[in-house]
Amino acid sequence: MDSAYIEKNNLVERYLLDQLSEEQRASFEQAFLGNQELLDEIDRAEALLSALKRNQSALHRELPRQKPVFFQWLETAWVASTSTAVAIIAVGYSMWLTTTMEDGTNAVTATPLRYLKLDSVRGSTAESKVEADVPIILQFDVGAYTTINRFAVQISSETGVVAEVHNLAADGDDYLRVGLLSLSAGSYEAVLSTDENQPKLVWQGNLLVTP
Amino acid sequence: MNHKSHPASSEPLVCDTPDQLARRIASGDRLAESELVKTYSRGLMRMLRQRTKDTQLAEDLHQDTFCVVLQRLRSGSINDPTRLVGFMHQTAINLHIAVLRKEKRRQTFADSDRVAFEPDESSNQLRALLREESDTAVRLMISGLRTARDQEVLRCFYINEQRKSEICESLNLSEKHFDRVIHRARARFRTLIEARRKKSDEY
Repeated sequence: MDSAYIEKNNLVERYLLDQLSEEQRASFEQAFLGNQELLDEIDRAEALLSALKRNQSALHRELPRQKPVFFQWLETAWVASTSTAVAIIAVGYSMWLTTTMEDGTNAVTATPLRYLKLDSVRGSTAESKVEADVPIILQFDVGAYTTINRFAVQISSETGVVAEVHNLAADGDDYLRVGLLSLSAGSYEAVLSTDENQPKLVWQGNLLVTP
Repeated sequence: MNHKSHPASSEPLVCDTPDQLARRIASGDRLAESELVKTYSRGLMRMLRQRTKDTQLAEDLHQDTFCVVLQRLRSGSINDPTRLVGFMHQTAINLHIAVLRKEKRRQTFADSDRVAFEPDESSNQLRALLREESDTAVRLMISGLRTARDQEVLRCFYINEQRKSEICESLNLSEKHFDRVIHRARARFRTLIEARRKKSDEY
């Protein structure tokens, strides 16, 4: 019984909640009996469980009612690489999209703003192009739109698709890695759609990269 | 949370394998007996507390289990020393079953007087401190949740004690999403606790 199996099957929590079969419970107990690291993990999970039970009223509080913010796109870091060095430079930009998804017709009601300044990632050099491996965090916050929970994103330049990711959860974080994108100033097209056999367009717009 | 007589941290313990320990104990090595207790005491106490839901009973069973295991090891009467962990585990379970049978025969009922004499948890300053620390961390963790649905996942799993499949179905979630919410909550809680401990260590 390795840690990946334990994690994947939520064995720690299920053990504490008495949700394991006798056989599973016995195996798990034998796995942790002399394993101090796993015992630490169980202690932490128990502390979390107890604290949540004591503070469960906090779980019922009303979340701040958001405008229908549908899609936030935060780029948190660039890993700019050269043959000899790797520089990690943090930049940030975001884009917002208001939407009326429930009507099923036109999801987009406002054009989101998103742009990125190359200056912020290329340092003092005068390069107008950055070779970069770009991890982008996608944050979905669909609020009431729980009927759709799988999305796909595609980013294209004039020369073709530079990034595509599927099976994005509706309100999860996902990393969209734009591998070694030769990023020049210019316009990129970003498309967010439902991830299904016949994808429905949710949002389409431009990612503007400025010098 | 950790019982005072049991090692609480993950500091490295013994390097001997269970069968090496068993052989050393059979040959009369008293140090090996201490190592055995040091290695397995905490885990044994954890499983007994979980099974009995009674710290006092768990303490007694913990003691009895080690008595039985050490006696068997000293006499060299454990057939397969590589199964030492399994033997210890089964011994603890058997002793617990014996207690349950005994209690059933006695037809005991909840002792309301005993409840009144339970020690006040808040009188234990360390425990109160740990509790306060966990409470603060969990409230911060909750406040950082992004959506009502993430809150709902935690409520269903930890408070309502619903099963993962049930939660995923009722909230229309994939298992991957469920795992992510739980993983994030745990990681955030751990980070917050560790940050608070680090801060208090600095003072």
